[in-house]
Amino acid sequence: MKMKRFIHLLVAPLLVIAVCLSATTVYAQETATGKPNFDENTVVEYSKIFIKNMVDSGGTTKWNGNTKPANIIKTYDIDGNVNAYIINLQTDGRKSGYILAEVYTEEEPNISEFGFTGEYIIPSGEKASRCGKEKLYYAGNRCFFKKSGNKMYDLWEDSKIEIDKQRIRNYYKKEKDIVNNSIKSQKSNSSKVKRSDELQGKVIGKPVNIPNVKLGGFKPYPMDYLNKSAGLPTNSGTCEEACATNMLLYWNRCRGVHGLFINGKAERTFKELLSYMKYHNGTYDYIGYKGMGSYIARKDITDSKGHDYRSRSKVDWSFIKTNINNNNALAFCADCSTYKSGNGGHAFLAVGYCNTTEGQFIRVCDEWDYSVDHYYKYIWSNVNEVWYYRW
Amino acid sequence: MNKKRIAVIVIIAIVLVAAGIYLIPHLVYKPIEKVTGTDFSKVDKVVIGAGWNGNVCTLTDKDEIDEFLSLFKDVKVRKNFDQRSRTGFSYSVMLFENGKEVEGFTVLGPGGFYMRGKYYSGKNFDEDKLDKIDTSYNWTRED
Repeated sequence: MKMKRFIHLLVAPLLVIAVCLSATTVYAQETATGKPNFDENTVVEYSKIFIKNMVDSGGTTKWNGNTKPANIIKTYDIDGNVNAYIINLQTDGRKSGYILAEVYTEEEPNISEFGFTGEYIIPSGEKASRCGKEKLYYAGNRCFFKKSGNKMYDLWEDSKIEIDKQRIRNYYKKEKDIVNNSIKSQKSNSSKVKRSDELQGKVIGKPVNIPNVKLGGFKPYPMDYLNKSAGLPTNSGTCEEACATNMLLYWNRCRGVHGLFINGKAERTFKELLSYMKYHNGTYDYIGYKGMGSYIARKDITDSKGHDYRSRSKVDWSFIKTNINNNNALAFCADCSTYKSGNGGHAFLAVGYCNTTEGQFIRVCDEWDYSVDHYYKYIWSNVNEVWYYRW
Repeated sequence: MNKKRIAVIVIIAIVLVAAGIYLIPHLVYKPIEKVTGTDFSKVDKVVIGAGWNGNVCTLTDKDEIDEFLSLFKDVKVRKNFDQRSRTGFSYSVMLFENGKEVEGFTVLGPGGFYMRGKYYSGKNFDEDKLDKIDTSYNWTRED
């Protein structure tokens, strides 16, 4: 009898623990599949910090302390989960741009797009605020869809193209991986010390960066990703074309210039740049720059407001400094032997500079990862060419 | 008259020899090992840098080194007429003998090489060999 009671006493708490554990598991699963990783209030607060940082850093004159959300539009993944918020803004009663914050991310919301004027317009030309009655589906990287019956339609140039759901799922998964890897990569880079491609020595004076590089959704595309998307072997040396694509991406994402990509797609543009810039086992000096000019001269691409090219003999530190002071992202082609192990010309996107006790450094995206936090030690004799286009 | 003829013949001969000296490297394929001037059998360390993702791989095991360099044993190259500078490469191959760096080479892509400050086109080096470099070794981010 005593033994039976003892067994009951032992089993009862075990049962309670088991029930609690299974309930927790079910709750966790519901959280993972049913709710966004960040709720609307969190995203609004995050956006306010973003706006404040932008105003404080002098990144815009269109926003100020009175800039606030005017309306918020939710977007959904194909399974009906909220995956982004489009926040249209107003300043002193005027429409003053938008923020698109993706919330499928793991560590923090990702502001993938923003603008300082008007309101958010989806690629089909429709204002996002007018899509309010129907659910707006989103798969990352400016890909929106709408549902009609059981079918999904692409909201790219028109709304008549039916899209296979599995294709949307695959695309969305790929985009999520890119964004999450990018966030992880930027975090891990900022915590590491003393890499060959990191800033060395004590900084003298104030570092200078072109506007909005750290803020917002500027994630340069790495070469292997672009090569794969263009159907090239991943180990192709397409750095100058990748650099040109990232230069366009910078002007699009960080400076609000539209109409820089063919059909709005960076991957498609990269593929075209391979032929414009005449890629063949590398890219010839000057030919790459001229090819970029030919691309920009296309009717469907927004024309640039200026450009310049300097060959090795005409490049100096003041040219680089002046252009970064003038807010131009530069294609900086140089030998990478002092940057990483390897002898060969490589194209970097220069986004800043600073002087340290160890010499002059250029802040670069190296087209090898998603980071904008690498530094190239400037040695004149290692530079092959520098060029830019600006809008 | 004879002297003039001889002078003309000598000048033509000099021009032909000079042209030959200039043209032969552009027309005749040579083994890559010969062009670098490095005896591959004496190499005791190889550092490969990937120009497309920034990763690095160091080989110090003699069997691994021999296996890697065997990819280039039958590769023959000739100098390009077009020596304009260019940007972008697939792999940079640094070779070492007794701890000292000796002449290596850079693989620009299938059939494209850079060594001793000149551009070369090569044969017997295709995408399969490029892929083998990518998949056969232990690559790391250089930190």
